[in-house]
Amino acid sequence: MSSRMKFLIGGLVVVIVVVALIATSFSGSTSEYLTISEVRALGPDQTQNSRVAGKIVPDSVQWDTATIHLAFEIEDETGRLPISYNGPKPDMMADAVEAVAIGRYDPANQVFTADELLMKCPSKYEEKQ
Amino acid sequence: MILAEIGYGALLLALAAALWATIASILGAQQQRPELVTSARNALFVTAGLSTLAALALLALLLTKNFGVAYVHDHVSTYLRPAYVLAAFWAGMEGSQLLWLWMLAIFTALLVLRRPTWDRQLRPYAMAVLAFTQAFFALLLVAISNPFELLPMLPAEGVSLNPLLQNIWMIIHPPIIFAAYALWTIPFAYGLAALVTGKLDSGWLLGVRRWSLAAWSTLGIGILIGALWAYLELGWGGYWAWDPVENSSFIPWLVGTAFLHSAIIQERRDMFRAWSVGLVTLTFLLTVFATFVTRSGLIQSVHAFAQSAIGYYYLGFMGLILAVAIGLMLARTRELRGSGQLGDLVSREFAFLVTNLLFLGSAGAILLGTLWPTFTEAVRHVSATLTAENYNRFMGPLGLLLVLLLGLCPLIEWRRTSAERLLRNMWIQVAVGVVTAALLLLFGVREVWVVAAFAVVAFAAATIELQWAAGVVTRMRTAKENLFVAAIRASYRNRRRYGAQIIHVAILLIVAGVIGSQAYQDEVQVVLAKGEQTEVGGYTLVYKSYTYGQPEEHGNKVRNAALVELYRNGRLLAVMEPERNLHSNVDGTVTEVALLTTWKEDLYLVLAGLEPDGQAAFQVLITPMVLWLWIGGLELILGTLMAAWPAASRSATVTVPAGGESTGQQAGTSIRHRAARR
Repeated sequence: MSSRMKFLIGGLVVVIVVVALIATSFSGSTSEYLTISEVRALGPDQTQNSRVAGKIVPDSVQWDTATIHLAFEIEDETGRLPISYNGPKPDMMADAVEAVAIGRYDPANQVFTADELLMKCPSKYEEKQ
Repeated sequence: MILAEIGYGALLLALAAALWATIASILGAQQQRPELVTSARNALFVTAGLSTLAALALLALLLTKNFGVAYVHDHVSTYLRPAYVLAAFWAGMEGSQLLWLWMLAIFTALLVLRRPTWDRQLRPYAMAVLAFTQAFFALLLVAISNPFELLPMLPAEGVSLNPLLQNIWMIIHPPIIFAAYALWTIPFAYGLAALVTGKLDSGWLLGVRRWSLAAWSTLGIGILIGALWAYLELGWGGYWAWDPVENSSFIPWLVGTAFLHSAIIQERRDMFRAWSVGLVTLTFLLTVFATFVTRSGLIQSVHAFAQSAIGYYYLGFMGLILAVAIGLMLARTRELRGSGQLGDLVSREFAFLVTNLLFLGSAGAILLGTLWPTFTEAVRHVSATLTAENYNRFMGPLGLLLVLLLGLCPLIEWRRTSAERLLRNMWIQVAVGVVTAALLLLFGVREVWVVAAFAVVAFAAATIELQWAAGVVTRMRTAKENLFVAAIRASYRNRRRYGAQIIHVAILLIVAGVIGSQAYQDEVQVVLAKGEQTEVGGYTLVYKSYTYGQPEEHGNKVRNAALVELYRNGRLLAVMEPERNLHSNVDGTVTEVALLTTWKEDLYLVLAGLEPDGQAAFQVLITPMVLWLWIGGLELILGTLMAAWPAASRSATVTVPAGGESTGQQAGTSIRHRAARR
């Protein structure tokens, strides 16, 4: 077999392995943005983290220093959703800012427990408008 | 407002001069009219002067707080500290693009200041590419994102800079990134010039080697400083979030790394010609793409993208560059075929090919991941985002494979290496890896991937150290020098080679830091009243006092802070003062973390909440080996300086001692063979 063929085949094998690795990393656990009504429709047996975004409902933010617990509500066109989070209040959290919560919905108590919270500022580099 | 008019006028003239430089240099080269090329050269000095003038005008407007200019109004205020006015310069889209243009114009002027030597034929075309890129940015600034745009009225106060950006690292991070982007334009310009002229041997690569190194290293440092900023300012205890802004600068760095390695192969073996020129083109396109991604809103949503025409300008420019590069590559297929013969599969050539594929694969995957929300939104109307875990799942294995190759490559010879010989070459390194793994297991590390990852890093580090030691030993024998002198001289004589090795060690330090900090992070949340204390990971935190709701003099900040003494084994290590402040120009609170750094671990203290009565909630994060990342960054600078240091006796640009280097290499390996045979 010529060197050229060997390189082509060898290179191809590497490419296939890399592509396969990437493909498996992408599949399954990417998290989709759900609307609030979609979150509310989730059953108790949801298998993966959900991601939901919405505007923070004015005056709904309740921070409790004693328990390091944050509770607030978000809303989109499809409804409102109470969010519960154990951890420090994110920077620049304020009324009407778009918040992204990643976590699980508890249908029994109708609360979304977030493992991670992100505040969606217009851009990391832009100031408030 | 006269300054705003001067600035805008300067940009208009710069656009005209850059366009003239583009046309004149191409015509001059095609029609053999040196006077046209000289005119283009002068025009490039003019654009450097004009863009400097525009930049100074904007700076002066910012410093004098001229709120009649929209950009000034949006980014500074009467109470913003002067140092942060600099950060305000590049805090927005318009300013960043002006910075890009300015840096590019300065670097171009520095390049053409020297009379052409090796690049007599390539120079005019390279100038054309540089001038055209300048023209593109000047056009953006003039036509669509004018930093000198006036407001209809004169506001009394500005919006001020986002407090998250009020950090020393944010003053220097953006200019370093943009300097890197501008620097990458130069190797790219020569690559395209090589395609136009058909002079695709390694001449152009050697000629721009130092520009490439500077670009690569600057970009790496810029990325690390961005990570440092995120770590110090964002208050979540991490330094990397696979955020689109971070990704977009990391992608060109990966492709640029592949380019540097490809260039070595082309220089040594006259192979991979198409790879080199293709990779440098891709790197440049990705730097433009990075600017575009972070500024166009494309990632947030396809709809945001459609709101401004600026995205189409970028797409048009990138499409044009890509079409020209591909067209030229197709026209030059014959010249792109090097004279080098491919070797066996167990050869250094093949190992380098795999390295390139891995770098390119990682870059492609991150690019795809960054654009994933956009794709899914466009195709399925539901935006799906990759989590950090998605990225880690492919980047972890790919990164470790690259580290493995870093340790393996020097042991594999050109053309072919027998398996037997390879094993004989690497048994010590393998032993070092195995011992490392055993020690980690002994100390109670149970995660398989952590043990494997550190073992691979140790293996690679052992290869580098052994090679260096072999070089020093050879010199001690042949030159009859003592260890110290031999170590210095061997390294100095082979600056390029050992510079690269120092960079490799720097990368290993960074990788080790990433593994350590990703594998173990202890997090504790605790609520304390004043005077109370708590134990976390062997540290004692004593909450001594607090400041609640104290307005800052001459500022827009209301300060909330807790004073905490940190002890270990009864010894006071530090007095820490984490803050959670209010700023009048942003909603919500802004955290300022307190930090204790050691080589072993970082203690990162966040004030999660503070009540008027002093009750305070703390978040304590203990993360191992974060310092290794920053030390790796410093070493990266050192290694680059060493690799790029000019050879004293020879003409600096052309002669990189390829021959001398390979002898050093063979000397190193043959010594070990002899030692092994004994």
